[in-house]
Amino acid sequence: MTSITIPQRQHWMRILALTPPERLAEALAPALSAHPGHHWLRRPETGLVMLRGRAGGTGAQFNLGEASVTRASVSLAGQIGHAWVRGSNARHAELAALADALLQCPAHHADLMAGVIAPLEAELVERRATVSRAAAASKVEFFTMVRGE
Amino acid sequence: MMLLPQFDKPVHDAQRTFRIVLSALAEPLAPLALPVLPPAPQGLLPGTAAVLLTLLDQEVSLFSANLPADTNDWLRFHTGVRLADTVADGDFVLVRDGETVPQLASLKAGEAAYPDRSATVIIETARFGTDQVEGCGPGFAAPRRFGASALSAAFWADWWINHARFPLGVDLLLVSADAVAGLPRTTQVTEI
Repeated sequence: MTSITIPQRQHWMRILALTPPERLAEALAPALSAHPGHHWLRRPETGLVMLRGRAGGTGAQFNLGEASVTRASVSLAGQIGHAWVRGSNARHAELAALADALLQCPAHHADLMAGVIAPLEAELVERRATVSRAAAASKVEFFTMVRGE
Repeated sequence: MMLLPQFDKPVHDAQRTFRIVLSALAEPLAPLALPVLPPAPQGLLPGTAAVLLTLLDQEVSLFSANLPADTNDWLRFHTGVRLADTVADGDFVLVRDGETVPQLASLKAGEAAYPDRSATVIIETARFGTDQVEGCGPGFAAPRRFGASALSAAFWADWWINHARFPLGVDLLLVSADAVAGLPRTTQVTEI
């Protein structure tokens, strides 16, 4: 078997799930066109998961709300790829599952990590920074109010 | 490990199979052809695979002795079924071809208030015949003759005990490679 650890796989599955589907399709197109032979173990299906939170981050658990999630599983090149992505975009789940299977192939792992996952992760960090900057720029300080310090 | 796929169209294929299983229980001891056969994992007939994919979900448990590990994984992946530790705990009991049918009295028979909380036994058989028993009861316009290569004279003697416990007792589904026959607890049989 391969020596891929669970944290490694969680890392790329997270990036695949957080990348917008159109961008994912574009990034994976060359790798997927080279591997047409796959069969679906579980075609994309959408359901709900309950998101739970903790009051204040450390308090009692409570149900925050439900989120739709789409999952898919595929068998490709002797590997089984799984994907769970938020939302109801079936193609997103399919692409993420195909990529998960390919990333487990020793022959393609290094190429895909460098050629697909690394750029997507950089874009993810960049998107997050942009959103954070936009939010920070709109922050209002109420100097007239007592802030407790 | 290599997982096999399930039905090509999971919802529609399972509905079509479910309709046939209902008919099989409504007309006991009349084998009906199964409409869709999924690729069968190791150790199961294609007909059994179809019936299991149709009937099992995460709310029931299955007992089967010595099922290959890959087949266990396949069932759990596609259906979410729990595997029961003992034959007395199983909501469904699978008896593969060549295995001995357990004593029916040792299985879940339901309670007087909830006779539906009983086990359903799925028995694989190489072929059906008309050479063992004649059945009558609800669902028979006229007595019907039946036989299954997996069932012995000892089983039919045991069946009387199961029938006598009505409304408690277990129901059976007999499955070949491509057909299913029902034997609900209401059916009376006489050996021929």
